[in-house]
Amino acid sequence: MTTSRPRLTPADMRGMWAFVPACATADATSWKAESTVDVEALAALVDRLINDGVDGIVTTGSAGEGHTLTTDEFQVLGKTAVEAAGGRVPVFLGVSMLHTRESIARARLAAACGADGIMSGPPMYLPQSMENALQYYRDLSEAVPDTAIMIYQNPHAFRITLTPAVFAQVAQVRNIIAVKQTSMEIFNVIGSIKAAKDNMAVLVLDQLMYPAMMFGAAGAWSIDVCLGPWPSLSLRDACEKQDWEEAARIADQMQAPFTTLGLTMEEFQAFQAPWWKTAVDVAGYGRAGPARPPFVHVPPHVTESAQRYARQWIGLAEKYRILRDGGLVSAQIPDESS
Amino acid sequence: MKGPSITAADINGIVGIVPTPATEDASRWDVEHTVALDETARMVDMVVAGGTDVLLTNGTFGECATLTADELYAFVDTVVQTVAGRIPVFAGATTLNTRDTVTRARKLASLGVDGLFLGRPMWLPLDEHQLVQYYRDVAEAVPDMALIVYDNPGAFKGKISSRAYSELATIPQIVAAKHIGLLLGGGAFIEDQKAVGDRIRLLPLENDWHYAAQLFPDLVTACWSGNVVCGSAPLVALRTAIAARNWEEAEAIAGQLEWALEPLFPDGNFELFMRYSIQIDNAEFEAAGLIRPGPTRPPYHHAPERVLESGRECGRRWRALHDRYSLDTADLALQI
Repeated sequence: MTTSRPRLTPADMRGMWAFVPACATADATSWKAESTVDVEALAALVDRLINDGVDGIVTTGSAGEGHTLTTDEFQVLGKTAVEAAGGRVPVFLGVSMLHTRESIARARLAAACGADGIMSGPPMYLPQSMENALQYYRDLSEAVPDTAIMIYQNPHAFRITLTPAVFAQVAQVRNIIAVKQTSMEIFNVIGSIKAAKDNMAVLVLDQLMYPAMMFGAAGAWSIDVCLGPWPSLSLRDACEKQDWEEAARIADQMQAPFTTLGLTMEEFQAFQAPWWKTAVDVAGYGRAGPARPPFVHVPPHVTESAQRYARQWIGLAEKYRILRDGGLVSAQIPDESS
Repeated sequence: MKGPSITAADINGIVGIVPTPATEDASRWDVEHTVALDETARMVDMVVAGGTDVLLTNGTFGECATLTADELYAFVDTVVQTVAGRIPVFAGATTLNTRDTVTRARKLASLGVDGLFLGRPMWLPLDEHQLVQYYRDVAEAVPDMALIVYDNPGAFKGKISSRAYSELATIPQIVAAKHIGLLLGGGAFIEDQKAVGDRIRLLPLENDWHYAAQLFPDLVTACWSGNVVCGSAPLVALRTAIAARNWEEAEAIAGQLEWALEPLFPDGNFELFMRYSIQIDNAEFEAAGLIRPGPTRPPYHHAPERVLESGRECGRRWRALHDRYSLDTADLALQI
């Protein structure tokens, strides 16, 4: 049994939450491989992110391959992340299975790994009704009453866009304390913030922190941080200081690499696990390894897109690393990308 | 490796898909064993005796997505023992990833199924290469199992393309594919049929069967039906008509089946049907009155009453057809 931490509240869910990849061994692309978690790489990445200043760790979402790990591997990954965090920041494990009872079984495993919470999206075999999605969260909450729950809003994966009305209802459930908003649509995000009130923290994509935090978002989720966290951390700091001018400037710079994606949104979504893992490996801040089956074939233009993105991010990350070391603000350094 | 004992040539007639009967408490999240095994045996025996030629389990309304692994194995074990070799059995093994499916496939093989009824991981959509590799990997892992591909764009985030079908046709274990048919799929059936030739038996929907069979009489010798538990008699009549290439008769029967299934999509709304499809199909089976399907499993257990009613109306209509065709058969037997 790991040291028990006090139960988290919505107020604890602030700042920059790092979504880490399910770091994989070189043989992970084979269906014959049985133990594919690169424990060393995962522990090193989690440790480095926390040392550099992230506020929480989340694993096993879509890009984090919650769907391609065996149950045994999930436990290895969960324990590794929890141990590497060592109680310094909360750890949430993604638990989104094909049905309620399977999600509950995995949520209990997550708790046994020592996780502070779970992140869960509604089962996605079929598109879900709001009523059944709501019941799903109520059942989950009842089954693991001592585990904090982060709602995973991801319409592409889970085929449902939870409405503000649903958020208002789940926010009443005691241990549901946060929502991961995948939506890039600011008015959708604002709707969830209004519905959540103080009962649930809303985390948005890092580059949307401005203006979402101006309108009440609690913080952000980010995979970018695994390529070098400094731009995202500077944006977090600017938002927390309510320096919206500085925040807008950083957010603009963070959005720039995205404009050169060269993929349709559908392609990006479909290949997100190998895309992000390639980007992480190119950036070199951590080691992600290959994606697991069935996501083993990746078209060259998708790989090139990830490489291009990572190279651009490295430039930005290095700039902000130097800035943060020197205690400067971004306006004092010329923007090379403009 | 000896390869599967069943080939595409063995898939003929009615490929019947059955639900997974549930205990009364199956909608609760804290129940561990929700399969009504006695009712399963009774249902399977009825379906085989009714004339189904190939049995498929654990598709969408067969709740591959909501059974625990232990429940799936207990259910399939009962199915295999009840069928007792009378017809081939294909069990569902669709999961979130290749390796979990392989684990289930091996266990199902040990239970004695002839093959797998296999959809693909659906958290993210797979492209053609990933899709084909997925089926190749499973075929490699269980080389003696025959595979029936489950082509369900609604569940698996995309239709299998003709190009992917031509690749799938090179995998010897794949003997058939449950297709969306002619009317829902438009021209896709024709292109896909050309892509697979005689290496994969493409299965149209029952009420489209006669169209596809007229176009490819030597190739489209089977259809799939999700309604065998509502009564097989109309399907047996359809099979007889199509085998005799009596297209007029086949079209007349198909027209009656369409009448029975007409209320299936509430308000004619396919999206609404998809959101509640397990519950709607379940209501249909219950209303037909031949089996006791029990409740559906979480999280697919709530549905608005009017949506369920559309399923029930299908069940009542299908049952009426079944009774009429059963009488006709009895009359015929008396005359002979």
